[in-house]
Amino acid sequence: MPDILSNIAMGFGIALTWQNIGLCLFGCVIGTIIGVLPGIGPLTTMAMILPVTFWLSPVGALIMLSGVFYGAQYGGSTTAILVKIPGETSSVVTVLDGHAMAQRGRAGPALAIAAIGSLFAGSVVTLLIAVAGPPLASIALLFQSADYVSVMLLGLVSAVVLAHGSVLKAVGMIVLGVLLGLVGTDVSTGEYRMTMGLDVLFDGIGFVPLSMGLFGLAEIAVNLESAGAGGIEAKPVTGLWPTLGDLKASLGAMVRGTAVGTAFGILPGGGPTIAAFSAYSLEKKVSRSPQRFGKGAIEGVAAPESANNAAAQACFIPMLSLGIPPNALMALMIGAMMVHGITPGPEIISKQPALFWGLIASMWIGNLMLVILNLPLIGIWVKLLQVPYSYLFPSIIILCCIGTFTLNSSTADVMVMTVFGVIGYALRKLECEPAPLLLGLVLGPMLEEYFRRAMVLSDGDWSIFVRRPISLGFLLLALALLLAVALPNIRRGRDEAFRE
Amino acid sequence: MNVLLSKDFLAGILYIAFGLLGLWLGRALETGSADAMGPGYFPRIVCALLIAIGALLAATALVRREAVERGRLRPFAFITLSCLAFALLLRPLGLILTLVISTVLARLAEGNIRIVPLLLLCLVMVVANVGIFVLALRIVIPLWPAAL
Repeated sequence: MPDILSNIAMGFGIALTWQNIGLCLFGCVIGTIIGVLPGIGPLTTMAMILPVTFWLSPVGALIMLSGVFYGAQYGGSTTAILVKIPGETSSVVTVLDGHAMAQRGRAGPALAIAAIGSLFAGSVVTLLIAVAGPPLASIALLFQSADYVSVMLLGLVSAVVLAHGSVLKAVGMIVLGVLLGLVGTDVSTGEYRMTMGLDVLFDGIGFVPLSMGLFGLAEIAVNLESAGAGGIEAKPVTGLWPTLGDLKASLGAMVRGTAVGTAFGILPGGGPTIAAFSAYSLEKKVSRSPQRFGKGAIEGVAAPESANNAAAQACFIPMLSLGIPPNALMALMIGAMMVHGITPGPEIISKQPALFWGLIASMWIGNLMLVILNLPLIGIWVKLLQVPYSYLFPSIIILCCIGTFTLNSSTADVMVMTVFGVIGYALRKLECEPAPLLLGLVLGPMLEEYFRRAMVLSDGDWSIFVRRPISLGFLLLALALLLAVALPNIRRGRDEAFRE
Repeated sequence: MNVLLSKDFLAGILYIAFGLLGLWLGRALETGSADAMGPGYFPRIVCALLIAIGALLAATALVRREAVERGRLRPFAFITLSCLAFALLLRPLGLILTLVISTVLARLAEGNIRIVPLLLLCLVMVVANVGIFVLALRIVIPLWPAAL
């Protein structure tokens, strides 16, 4: 225990330097802005500011990127409550009771409870990462290549199970991602693979151009087809403070929401959105008066808002302790680490303690900043909604172009982005979710490497994967998940959770 | 409705096409054996898997026929054009002119264009991007055409 305390103290020492406070604040502000703005998500934004982070220290870069991610969870709830438009998919359920409260003139307490719930969840999970991260990493050090292969397979399987829509399509997207990840120089033999002789592909398909095309450009094209491009007027907020009764009613919901959110965050393939949905339906089930839900029940705001923030932070646990991203956003964080020359894996905590503890400390500071940013300054964020999309989207496109260019000062990278914009648009039209592809892209090369090593160690004997107990355990878990999703009633529950 | 135009069928075909493309592009790669894998071993497994999934998906389209929603060509076309213009024009024309052209093309993705706000948007884009990337981050990008 004293060990953890001294480590946390060290983390605060790093996070509280002026530069890192500034970066954390900057990340949180950007996160809040994109959280408020519908139609632009944290994944796109993090991909867009990735090039800017190359000028920062690795800790600074991760602090800022994380700030964007959890900042978006706060911002998304603001618009959900005030204008009935969820800024992020993870705030979709908050609309139900949050907006109902706003219509009854209780927008202030709804916003306050959302922020307090997020802060509560954020603080609990930050502590959990600090306590659980190091022991998990030391377990992971026992893993051999075969175990890594199986844990990645488990991750990919649960990504499929939790993905939205057709299971078969999601499997296909992951496999496609793995395939795209193999393009470029083969690590073991140094041979160029599937590069079509293009210089730009020798180092592999760039993570940034791909994600900007797939998420940034394609998303804008789809948004423009459906939505209008004007600004939106929001109702004014009066009286922020929740009553003692509100706080009492939401305390249980916050605790349950945090627990549900943490579980879905750690689970590979999970994330803030499914966490918020699950927390809401759990709250409805345990409530003594479920009929109040949808009509302005404060628990209906507290639970999903705690859950999405808990999940947003809990997914750092497998990323930091195992080096395995549980979802596309964490895959992006891994991409950022690799760009800074840090190899993701269980050694991070022991070899780069400053990075790990500094990041954790910054999360707590960031959560506190977000409450301050969101409550007294709420008026500013609401004004943002009046910026018409017709000015916003050209700016985003230009930022995608110039951001991709600055990575390597290469216009070829911009071409790659454009190509993936086209592919992404086609995939969206065919209802293929692009997020699993990104996960496959990052895990693909790792999967091949560990698979190769495992087979070399076992002299080509495939049974190595079931002979090692750790590996067997992961494989059985993956199998159980696959069977579970095939069962009709669980399937129905999953579809319901995603119905918006 | 025609099965050949359903979402699942087209998605299946797309997966198969990517799988075949991968096999073809990697046709010269050595496969090797399980205990000494060549550079082609794992990619071939992945391609085969992708083709199998694609075939299965295309087959399910017989049961679940759902047509692709009609998209509007305009937003998609202008967004793509805007990025293409940026990639192709940046070297010959320099940053400032490229930004103006790309911004105008991007803005054309959506209707209801008024000239003064559009010019203002271009101005903001030039000032902001030159300010951030050239002046603050000191990235070497030529601002004007090389001939000038």
